[in-house]
Amino acid sequence: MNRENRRSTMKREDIEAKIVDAADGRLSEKERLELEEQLRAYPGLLQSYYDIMNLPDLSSAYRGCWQIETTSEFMEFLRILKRRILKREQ
Amino acid sequence: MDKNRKEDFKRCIPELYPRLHRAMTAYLAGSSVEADDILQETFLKAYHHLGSFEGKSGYYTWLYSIARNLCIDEFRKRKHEKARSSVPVEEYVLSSDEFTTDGERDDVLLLRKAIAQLPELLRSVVIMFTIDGMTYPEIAEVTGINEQTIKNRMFRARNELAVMLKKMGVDQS
Repeated sequence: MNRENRRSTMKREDIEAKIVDAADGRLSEKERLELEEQLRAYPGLLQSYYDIMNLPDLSSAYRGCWQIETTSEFMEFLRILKRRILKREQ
Repeated sequence: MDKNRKEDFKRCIPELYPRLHRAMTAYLAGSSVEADDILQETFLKAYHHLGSFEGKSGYYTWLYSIARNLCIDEFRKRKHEKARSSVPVEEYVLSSDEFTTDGERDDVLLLRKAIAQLPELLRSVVIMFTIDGMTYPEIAEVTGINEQTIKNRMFRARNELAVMLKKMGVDQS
């Protein structure tokens, strides 16, 4: 990879990381507007930016799921683990 | 091995287990690998290798990396990845889910299906960050990859999810 290509790849990676920061809500309004301005030079990335910003909240996919509702499941897990540890140590 | 360390690890299990169980169940959604089987192997392996735990990070990120490596080994054994996309969306339904509308329920199920269809390298980052609440430095520690690359993977993951959800007809406006 020549120097120009490497620089271009690095630049793209930096912008991708900035888009992730924007999606995570880590950029200030000013920083977000600056990023959008910068993205006008990269139409493909600008589209990705809009798509990513419009994604639903990913954590909502698993909200409220898989809570250990009773201790019995955990106790059973511990009982088996204990037995296996003892077996290995004998 | 230091008996105190073993005792300390045992004391932490009740705190570590629920979080790791939740993360691994999300990570393994749609696969035939059981989270509890992976967790048994993870805790057993960790217990017997406590001597190699350097303590630079907490037990959790150490356990997570052990669990993830066990899952990857299991996927290889079962050639699991190819089968993943064929899992019907109904299998993602869980009894504890609560939805206000049918539309919301359908969108959430499709979102889960889309996450489950991501390649492992991207799916693991999404699960660790959005489900498990790990920070990027913690994810970098678990995966042994630098933070910049983790963010680039997160970009690719979100980009692919947007494409998949569009194809599935999920409204993203």
